[in-house]
Amino acid sequence: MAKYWSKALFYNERRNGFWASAFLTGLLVKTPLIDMISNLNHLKDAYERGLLTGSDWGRWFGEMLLLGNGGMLIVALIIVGWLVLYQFRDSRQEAAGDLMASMPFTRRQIIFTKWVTGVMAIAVPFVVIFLLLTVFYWVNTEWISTPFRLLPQWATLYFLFLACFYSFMFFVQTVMGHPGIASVIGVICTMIPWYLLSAIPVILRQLLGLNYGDAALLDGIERLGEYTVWTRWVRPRYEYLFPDWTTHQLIYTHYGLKVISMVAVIVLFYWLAQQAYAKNPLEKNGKLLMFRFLEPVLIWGFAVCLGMLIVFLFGLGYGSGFFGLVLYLVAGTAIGYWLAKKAVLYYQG
Amino acid sequence: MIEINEVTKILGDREVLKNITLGVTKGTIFGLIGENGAGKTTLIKCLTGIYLPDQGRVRIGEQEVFDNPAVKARIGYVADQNHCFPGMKVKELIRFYRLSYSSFSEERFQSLNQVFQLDLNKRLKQLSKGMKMRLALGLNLSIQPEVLVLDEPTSGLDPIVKREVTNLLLQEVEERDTTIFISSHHLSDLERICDNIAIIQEGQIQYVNSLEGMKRNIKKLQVVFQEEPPQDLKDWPEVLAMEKLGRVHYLITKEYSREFEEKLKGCRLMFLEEVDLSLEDMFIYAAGEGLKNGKVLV
Repeated sequence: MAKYWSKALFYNERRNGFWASAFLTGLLVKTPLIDMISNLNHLKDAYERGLLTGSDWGRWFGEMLLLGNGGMLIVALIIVGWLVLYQFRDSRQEAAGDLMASMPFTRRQIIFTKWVTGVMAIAVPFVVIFLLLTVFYWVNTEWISTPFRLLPQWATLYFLFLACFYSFMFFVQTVMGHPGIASVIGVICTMIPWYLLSAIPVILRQLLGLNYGDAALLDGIERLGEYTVWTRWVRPRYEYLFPDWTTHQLIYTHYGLKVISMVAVIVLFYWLAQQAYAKNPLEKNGKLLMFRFLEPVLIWGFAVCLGMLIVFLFGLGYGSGFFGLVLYLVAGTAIGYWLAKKAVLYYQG
Repeated sequence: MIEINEVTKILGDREVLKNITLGVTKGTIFGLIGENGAGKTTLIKCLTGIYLPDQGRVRIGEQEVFDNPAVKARIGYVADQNHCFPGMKVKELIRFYRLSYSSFSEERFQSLNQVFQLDLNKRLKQLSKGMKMRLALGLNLSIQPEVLVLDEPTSGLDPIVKREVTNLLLQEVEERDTTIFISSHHLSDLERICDNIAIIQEGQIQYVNSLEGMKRNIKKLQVVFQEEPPQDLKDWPEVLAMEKLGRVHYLITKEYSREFEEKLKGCRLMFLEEVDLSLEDMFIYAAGEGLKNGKVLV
């Protein structure tokens, strides 16, 4: 274990992990726990006043747990993004980065200890909230009709989802030298698969004069794009129950597959991060990219995405025609290329 | 103890270190001097395993330094910039060092702190540049290193502490046989403590010698000729630089010898006197005047 883990490095990393964990715990205590306590008080009040009707009011626990936390997820993602940024902020500065590199740690120890600290900072709040919600569930079981199994499923799925995002952002930090820019680019990169798969079919249909349904391949690509809206992974579905098929309850579909896929994503991005960090030339700390071969990827990626965005903003829906659309695409790509090239030259020094 | 073998390092498009070879014997103090941007810090970063050389190898005690914690545990490194971990308290940094280095001695730090007078409860961002340097020195001396690498260690220190620090370094070598590699602009400090000196210029080692050898070979001669000096005097291989003040010629020689003195005397001299050069003078002539004349100290 000492080959990977360093107590000294953990001591150094603990501060960022502690604060992220504290914020995340606070967030989870507010939503869903305090929201649930408040809702239960309303229910009890309504019951005492005889206002509770129907048979399905007991589903509130499941619905609040599985559906009522869109805002919580966004805040949790911001906290995780902040955690990764702070974990790399010091080590990408010349003085601290050099000091760490001169001390008796291997790069594998540095990256593993950092990553484990981050994952623990995410895991601990979910363990805490799971325990608190478990107590809440069993104390108020007569007010709740949701099966208990949804609680560990929810905690596991949300933890893995945040750990996936953390590991991806962590990987992005290991290939870039500037933590602030890496955070912005990392977030943008999470949306690029959805953006490309959604935008390419629309633009191609317009260029080729096709309608939705004319080209199965384009329709298929567009449908595939829906699966790259990552929040789908933690979204539940309603299951309609036998025998009347009108009673329904929330469930997670393909739960096992989702868990396995997310674990695979976490392992993959950690492995990539470790490989990248092992080859980091530390003289590039503070620069945009740690590896020169990524420069064309960044420049052309930005150029093409901007070109497509210009088509969306100014080309589609204005009757631009084939040549007009091509012109917007080429001009947008050229502007994007120029801007990205300038940024790379500026930051790479 | 330290072997730097044909090391080349490229930063961006610039070759900052060009085929550098140096050796440092155990228990000696080695000084590296050079102008700003000459490559001193880059060489030190290769030596401490921060940078991986593009070519060549850096070994300490016959082991590669890069990504080798076993070797790094025996190296102390005091950087020229110590602006790291601003939110950390001094006592937390001490704990971090204690956990990182098995050889760290808290007693040693306490005794050093009687000189440095650091408040252990202060955060690093509250410390002045000089205080940060004292802290870095204190921590790195407390790990009881076999090799101590110092990049501009006396910058920001007041004269009294500066004197204390140089005394501590000498004591370290004497008592623990520590090997010290030091780069500094304060050449008078180096002159006081170094056994050997290297001059680096534009990424190349121009000169390596013991301080004694340097003083023996590099001399300033005050000369008055009976008539005009030889036309090609400036081009003599022994002459590094030449200045004229009235009838007096000042010759800086890099290869002082009896033969050279005799050669000069053969040019009908009225007067010849040796003037001692400080390390700073030697460096200025080597880096400034020598280069201006297209000459190097090799």
